[in-house]
Amino acid sequence: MVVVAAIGIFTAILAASIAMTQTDIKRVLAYSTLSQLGYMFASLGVGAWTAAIFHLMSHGFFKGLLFLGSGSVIHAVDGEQDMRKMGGLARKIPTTYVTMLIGSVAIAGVPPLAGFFSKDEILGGAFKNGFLWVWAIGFVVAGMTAFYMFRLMGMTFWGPSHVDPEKVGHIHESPSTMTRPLILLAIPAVFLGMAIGFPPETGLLHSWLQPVFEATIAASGRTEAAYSFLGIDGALAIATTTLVAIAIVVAWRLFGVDMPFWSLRSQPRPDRVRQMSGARGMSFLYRASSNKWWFDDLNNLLFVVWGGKLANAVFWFDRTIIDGTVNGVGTVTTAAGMRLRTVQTGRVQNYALGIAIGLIAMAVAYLLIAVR
Amino acid sequence: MSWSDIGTIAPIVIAVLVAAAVLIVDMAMPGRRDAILVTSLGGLGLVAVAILVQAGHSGSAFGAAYSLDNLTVFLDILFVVIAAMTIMFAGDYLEPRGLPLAEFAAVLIFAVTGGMLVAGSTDLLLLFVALELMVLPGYMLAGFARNDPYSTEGAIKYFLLGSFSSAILLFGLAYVWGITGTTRVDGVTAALATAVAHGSIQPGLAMGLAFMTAGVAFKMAAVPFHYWTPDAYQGSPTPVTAYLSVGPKIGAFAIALRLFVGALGPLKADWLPVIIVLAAATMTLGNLVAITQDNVKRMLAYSSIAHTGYILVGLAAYAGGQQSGISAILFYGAAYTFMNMGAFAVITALQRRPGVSSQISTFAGLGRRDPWLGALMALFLLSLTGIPPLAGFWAKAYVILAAVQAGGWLTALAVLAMVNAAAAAFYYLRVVVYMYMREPSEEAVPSRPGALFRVGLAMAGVGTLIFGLFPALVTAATNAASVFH
Amino acid sequence: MHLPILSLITLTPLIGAIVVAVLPSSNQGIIRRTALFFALVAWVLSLLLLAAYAFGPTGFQYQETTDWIPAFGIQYKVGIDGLSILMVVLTTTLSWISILASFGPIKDRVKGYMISFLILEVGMIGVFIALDLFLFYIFWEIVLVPMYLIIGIWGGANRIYATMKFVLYTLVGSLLMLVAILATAYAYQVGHGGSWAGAFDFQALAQFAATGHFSQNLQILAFLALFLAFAIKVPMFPFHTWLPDAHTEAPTAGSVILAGVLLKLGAYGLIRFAVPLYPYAAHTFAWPIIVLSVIAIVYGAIVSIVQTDLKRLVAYSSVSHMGFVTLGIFVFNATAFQGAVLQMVNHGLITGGLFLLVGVIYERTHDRTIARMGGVASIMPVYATIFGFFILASAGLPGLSGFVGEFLVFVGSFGMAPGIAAASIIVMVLAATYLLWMFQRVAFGPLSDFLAGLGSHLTDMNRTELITLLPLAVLIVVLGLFPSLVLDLLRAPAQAFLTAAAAVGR
Repeated sequence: MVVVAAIGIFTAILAASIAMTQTDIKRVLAYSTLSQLGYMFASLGVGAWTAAIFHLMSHGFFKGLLFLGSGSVIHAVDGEQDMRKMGGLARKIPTTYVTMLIGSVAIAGVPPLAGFFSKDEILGGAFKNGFLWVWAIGFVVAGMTAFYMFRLMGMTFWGPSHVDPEKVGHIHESPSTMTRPLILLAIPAVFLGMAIGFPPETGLLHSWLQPVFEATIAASGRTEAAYSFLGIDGALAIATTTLVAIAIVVAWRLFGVDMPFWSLRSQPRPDRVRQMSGARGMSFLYRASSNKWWFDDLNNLLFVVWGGKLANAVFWFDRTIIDGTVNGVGTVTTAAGMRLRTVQTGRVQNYALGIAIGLIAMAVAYLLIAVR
Repeated sequence: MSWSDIGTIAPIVIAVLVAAAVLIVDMAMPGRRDAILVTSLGGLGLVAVAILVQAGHSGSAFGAAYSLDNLTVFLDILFVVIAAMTIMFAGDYLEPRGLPLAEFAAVLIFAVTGGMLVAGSTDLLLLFVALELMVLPGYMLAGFARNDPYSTEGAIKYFLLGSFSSAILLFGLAYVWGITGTTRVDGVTAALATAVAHGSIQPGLAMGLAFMTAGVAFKMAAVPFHYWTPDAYQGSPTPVTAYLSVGPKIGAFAIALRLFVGALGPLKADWLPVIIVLAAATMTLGNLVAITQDNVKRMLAYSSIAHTGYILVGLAAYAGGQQSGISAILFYGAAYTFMNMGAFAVITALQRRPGVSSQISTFAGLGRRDPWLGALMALFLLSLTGIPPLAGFWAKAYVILAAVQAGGWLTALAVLAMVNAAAAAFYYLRVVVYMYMREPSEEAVPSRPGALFRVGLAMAGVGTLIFGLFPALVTAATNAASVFH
Repeated sequence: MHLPILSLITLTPLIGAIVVAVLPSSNQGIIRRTALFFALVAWVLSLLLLAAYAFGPTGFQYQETTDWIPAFGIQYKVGIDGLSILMVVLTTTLSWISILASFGPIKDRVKGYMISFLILEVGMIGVFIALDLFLFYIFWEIVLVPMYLIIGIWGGANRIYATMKFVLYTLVGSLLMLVAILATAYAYQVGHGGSWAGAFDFQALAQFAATGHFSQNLQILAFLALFLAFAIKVPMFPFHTWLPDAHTEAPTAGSVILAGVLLKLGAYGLIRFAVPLYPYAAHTFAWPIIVLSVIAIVYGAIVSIVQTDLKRLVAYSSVSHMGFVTLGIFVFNATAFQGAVLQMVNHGLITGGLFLLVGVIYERTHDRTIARMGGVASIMPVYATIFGFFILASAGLPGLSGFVGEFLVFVGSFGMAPGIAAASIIVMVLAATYLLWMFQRVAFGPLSDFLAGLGSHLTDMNRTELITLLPLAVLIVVLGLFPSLVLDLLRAPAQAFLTAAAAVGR
């Protein structure tokens, strides 16, 4: 189980680190997905099975929302996916903006939205089941998540517009076929956590999944400690929430924010971003992150080139060796029949000879058997 | 000879009279097919009644040379059924070819009479004479299509090799007589039991065993004495092939029961290994060569060799100490009669019009052309394959069960038999493929067979199905018949 | 004496077959509807049975016993436990769906087709309810013939090769199984002073086995024979190569039943007979079988990636998915067992659905080459949506039933073989790869020239097609969210299975 937890949490932080520097809006979300899946995997590894499923469900809703939202954004700017060529879209596509903002808050883990409950259960599970290192990394990842999501929001919706001048005039809100699903998904993104995850560890979801994991939990010998708001669980939740808040604020300082209703407004500081990413020690991390830790190159080699060759080789093996053996049995059988059939020459002399030989063989056999 | 002797062999006497009556009717009313059919089938009905009257009784005639027991009754009934079905199928085949039905029916009934005599023979000499009475008409039937060179060729081969093997068998019987000093089965048994108890078997007896095994193996078409089978089966007129594939075969197993199980029973430990090897070789070669055949008659000839191998497993199981082996042989014989005659009957139906070959291509699209004939053929073939719940399945199951009960090498033989059965599925199902999965060739339009023919087909079909669904009906009889000495 | 409900369910399709047989073959509409009617009746009866089934107790319910061949103690004996009832309901459900799905595609020799299908259903139900080894064997073989005809008569271009391979392969296994069954019964008979009574009765034999009365030699040999028969049917690596051929050539409904039910016969045989009757041998061979299962899981997934034919891809994915079933059986614990059975059900629903969906596109294009598809989503949005749903279910998307089964097997086998469980989990990634890649090539991108050339023939799914797929989709969602519906049924069978498997004896 440690292996699973390690793979999961490692994936989570790696993917989150990549998401922090991507400029393609869909790519950020894709790496975010990978990171969250790593989270769920880690959750399975530390024995917080229910939490894993819970996060999976809640994540499904707000990530669906975010992906659809990014689609709406891309639609609005006529197919552009590069966030460096967006900015200031908040007022032009308000529905998309508001729903995506909800999604971002949810995934960042701000209470009381869906992501908070599920993420909190995972981290709590890791901590309470003794996987402190998993909790520590997961804690950091939670902060990173909040950061890259609000980086995305800042670059896309807030600050000055960097949209191609000839496209500016065409920016428009998507048709209702696109916005309606956004609104529909925003509802569970807000309420799902409260609906089935509250009160923590005794909510509806737990009673649903109870029979599934019952045997496993019994087998693992692990008894889940009761949830205590005022005890360790509460402390962890507050710690996480604090980190998330800090990360969001940092993102605002760097990439801007523009929420007049809350009288939050700050201009993006690209110079500061450049300066930070160029700093000693940071530059390697920055390059690694933006190059996705060179995973694409590795993947291409490993899976597409070698994997393709391997798959083809295995298929060849299946057809030639395994199925070849099966068909070979048939071929050999028929060939044997063909060979034996030539004994039947049609000539009586040959037949009589055959009978005589058979008779002699039989006589020898009987003499050997019977006369001891 | 006394009246009681006549009473004991009454069915045989009646059968001879029926054969004679058929010839007389033919002379008195030439060209009256219906009269011949009525006489022969009605006569066979009388024979059947006579046999059934004897059922449950036991007795002997001619100083214990002939015995009436449950085995005799069971085999007699089988022979009568074979004869009746063959006559039903023959009419439609012989008429268009201008071959005489009366002669055919009479010769056939004579042959069957020989079989019935074999079934009850408990004397080595009578056994031999009865055997010749059974096979000699068989040679005639094989060459019944006088104008067909293949028929003549097959008959001559059958006759030459058959005579050769009869001589071999007779030679073996002579050895036994020389050593034991008697030809009565019970006398031989007693003498051999004493010899075995003293732990010594003379080389002469071993030679005798070899000759007898070879002779019987020829009659039942076991490898390597099977050479006559494909040529004789393929060359003979199809209804004759139908008869040859079951009649003489069951006759040969009747000899095996009377001779090996009866007379040579005390030596069973000696002949067991030979039978095992014979069975293994027979089923394997039969199946392997059958796979390569494109002519359905020839294919079924090799298939009949393979089935000989399966039946021999039952004989080996008996030698391995399982009485149920005998019962399995008898069940197999009965099941095989219905399914194999049925299969040949379908070929006969297709060949009603002269000139239609028995190549597998003849069967193309039969399922669409003639759904009933196709379905019946599929039924017979599936039964031959051993698919439950059909007769052939239980036949195999009983044989295998007996072998498994005997254990040891016989378990291995049972496994070999089953591997063979799987391989055999290939050639049986190949015919089904032609019937249902290939389009019919344009010219083939079979004429509907006559009513009598259809009755025969229905008998075969119902037998195959009923034996499969309610095997207990038959096992009661086979169990009773399996104890005969 | 209660109502012989099990016999009724089994007989209903048989009566249907007889009724169809006497209908005039010219009136295809009536033949189709009659067949569907009887399949639906059997389905409703099985649902009633499920509703009336008592969840709690172990052992078999609704037993019926009649002597058949008393001389050998062979009985007509049927009964169900939680496992059987699930399989019976799966069978009756997929049967009517398959028959309905054949309405359009099968236009030639409809009568023979429907008779074959109904007899097939009789055999399949029979296998799942038989409690007499001989009866089981007979139903097992009865299944073979109609499927042989269905592939051979109504199949694709290479159908004869495929159907012969299917039959011969299966027969090799089953005939050896017959020898093993007879040897087992004989051992029982010897152990009971030569009395055949109960020698083929599963419960009596299981009792005999539980007390360690079958010799180790017999167990080893008989288990190997049964295992071979069942492994071929499942099919386990390396006995699987008949499957891609049979699936590719079979008509759509044939593939659905083949994947949905026939493969389950093998797994069912392992659970019901091979392990409880020969526990010593089952434990002896557990590790090799686990290794073969994992090879099947990974191997099937890898080979699926490079398939160019839609059906062949789904067929190879079946090898992979069924690997989870055998893995779950032979790690011998309750979680994995429940996962294995759930996976049997899921695979039936999901793969059955996938074959139906491939059939839908094949009906319109008469082609299954992935490379010639593309952009289906733009013309057939409903189809693409449902296809996507089943793809996600097959890939093991959490929330849908496919996930729960594989996950339970994973969790259950983890304790026994962490490495192996980990290897099998990698496959979830591979599965996503081949399934989503295939879906992407078929559904998305610009409309391929080939499809564009079909013009107006390329219509979206019609009502009948929707009716065949919706029940499956609903079940997939329901079982994904409430797997306990099935798991509760399996509590008692799992316990019985583990108890029997633990009776290793000396």
